[in-house]
Amino acid sequence: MQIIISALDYVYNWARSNSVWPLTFATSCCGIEMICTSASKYDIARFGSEVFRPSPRQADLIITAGTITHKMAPALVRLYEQMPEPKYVIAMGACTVTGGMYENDSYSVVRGVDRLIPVDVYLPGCPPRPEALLDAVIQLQKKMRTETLLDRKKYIEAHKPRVKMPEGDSELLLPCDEIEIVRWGV
Amino acid sequence: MSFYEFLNNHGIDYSQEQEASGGVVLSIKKEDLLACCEILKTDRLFNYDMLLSVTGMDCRTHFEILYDLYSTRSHSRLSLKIKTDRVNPNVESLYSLYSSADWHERECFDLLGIEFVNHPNLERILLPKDWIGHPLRKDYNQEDERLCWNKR
Amino acid sequence: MIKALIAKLFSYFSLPHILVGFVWVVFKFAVIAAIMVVVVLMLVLMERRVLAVLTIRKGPNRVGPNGLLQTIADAIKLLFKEDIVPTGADRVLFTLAPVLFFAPVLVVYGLIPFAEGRAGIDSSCSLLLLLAVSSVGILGLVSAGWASNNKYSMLGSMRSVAQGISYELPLVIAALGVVLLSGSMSLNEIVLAQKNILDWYILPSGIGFFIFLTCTLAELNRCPFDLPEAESELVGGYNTEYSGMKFALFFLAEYALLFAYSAVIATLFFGGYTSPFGVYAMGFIPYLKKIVFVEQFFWLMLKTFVIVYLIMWIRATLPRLRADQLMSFSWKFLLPLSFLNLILLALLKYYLG
Ligand code: SF4
Repeated sequence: MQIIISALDYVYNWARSNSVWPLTFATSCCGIEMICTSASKYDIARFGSEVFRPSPRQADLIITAGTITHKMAPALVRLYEQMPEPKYVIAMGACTVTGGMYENDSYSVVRGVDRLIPVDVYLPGCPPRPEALLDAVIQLQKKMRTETLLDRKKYIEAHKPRVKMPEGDSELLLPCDEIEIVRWGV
Repeated sequence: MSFYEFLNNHGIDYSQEQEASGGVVLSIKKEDLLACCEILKTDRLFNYDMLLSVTGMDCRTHFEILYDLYSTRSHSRLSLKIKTDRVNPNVESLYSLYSSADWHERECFDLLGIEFVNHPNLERILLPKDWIGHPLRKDYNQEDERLCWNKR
Repeated sequence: MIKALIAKLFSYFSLPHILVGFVWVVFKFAVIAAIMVVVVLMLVLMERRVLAVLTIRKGPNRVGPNGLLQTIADAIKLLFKEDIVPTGADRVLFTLAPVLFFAPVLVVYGLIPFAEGRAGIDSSCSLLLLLAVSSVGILGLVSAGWASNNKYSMLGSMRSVAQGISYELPLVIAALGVVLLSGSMSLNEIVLAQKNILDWYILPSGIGFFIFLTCTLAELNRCPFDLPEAESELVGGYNTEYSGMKFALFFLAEYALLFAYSAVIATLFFGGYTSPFGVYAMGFIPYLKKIVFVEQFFWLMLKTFVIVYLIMWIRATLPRLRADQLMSFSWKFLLPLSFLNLILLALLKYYLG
């Protein structure tokens, strides 16, 4: 049994780690670097990730490239929830890691997307260079290869969004206390 | 006919401020705004037919609003500046003349709380609908407890 | 040979002999489906590499030797992915739509003569059948758009219908020119009428080729006519809500159709499976004479891949059209041009024989 599962794991991890399709999601300056990464000089296509899917239903990875404001946060969480499992997040840029240069006294910026959704790879820099994004993709691939099908339940538990969706007329996301944050993976 | 003569003929009070690059900045009275824009837009000679932006500023004692006009005929710019009170600020909306005023005025309302009279759909555009306060005002304090996660 | 084998097997297991014909057809289609899947896996990789080369990139090169296994990785991943059916969607139609889109493609493959006498269905009006069947696929797109209960999908599928219908006409009329020249509707006979490079129908019917290629691009929803799935306007068009295997089926059908249409173009205008020199190299060698169909298959593949490359080249070069430009281009330019082409060909045939 163990042998079968580890063989399956190998094929499965090989397949999905080599075809990480990102979602076309860019909210500010970091997005330009992301575009640059897929252009001819750096070429994310070498890792099989140049298929930027416009619809979250077909994407495996969301690169949160750029500042996430409170207005944008519900959209981000919704997009994340619409992606099919297994899904991954790269927090690209200082803005999405901690709030970046808006950390001190901005009224509108969410201080790090890890308050909204679980992040797999943090990529600091303002903006990170395209090489750094490629490195993040490689790190993510490494992370994927360590996973196994047996841990699937735990994985799903760990990959829940960490907020309540707003109710009624409200457009502000609230932090959700009930959701227990599961830290998982390498 | 020079520009200033033209304004004088129509009985509009103005005072010229410093020259901005490529255009003139005129201070006018709040009440004159709509009439002034109307004659500037419809006049054959000047024909300022495009509204580039509406910018609000908080000057502590009052609000200033800057309208950037552009003429696609003579390729010249003109900025109009008006003042309004801090308490209950309100101006006539330019939406009836320039439809681009719609979103610019909404932004101005959103961030500074200036009310544009006769605007068709004056609601928040950049911030969530149920945001409290107008954050570009100098005396803005974030008191909304829902934003607790802005603290690190 | 294989048919005889099947017959023998049937009599061995004492099964009714009437079924042999049926099983034979199923067998042929199974082979065709196998060819199709392999072709699509190759095509997707080819597209990514060709696009990479044309935009001065490297393209996928990490998986397997020089990136050759990239599409296989993609396929396995899509297989394992969670399959989402939106709450508001019409479950039955939503599941049925990719199949509806995919099935006609299989029939189109059956109609193409891959070598002499080797077509799944060898009918005397196979061209007509092909044109009729290939437009059924639009039904799949419409039901996909309708069933997803999503405005972007709906818009995308509406666009694809409008586009499909308005480009069907010039396409058929351009194909009619070829029928006029060859005097037959059977693809096999059309191929046999152009036995060497001088007989190719692209020479008399160059305009027809241009029209056919353009309409093919529109039917396939490829650049510059990819409005039904315009990413910057309609998220993903009709496949916005599709994920996992269902999306893969759409993907598969699209590329399979691309290949099928290219093969049809090769058949109609470039002499199909015949060699451009009029004789087959294998025909001279005594032992290989029997398997000359291998060479015929090779020629068809060569011609088809050149056309596939052309289509990918067009994709990398041209930007997308606007919806109204698309319509006026079809009705105001291509349709009159195709009639003109038809008249010219008729005159040509009448005066030059
Ligand atoms: S991290 Fe820097 S470059 Fe990236 S979005 Fe924020 S401010 Fe822009």
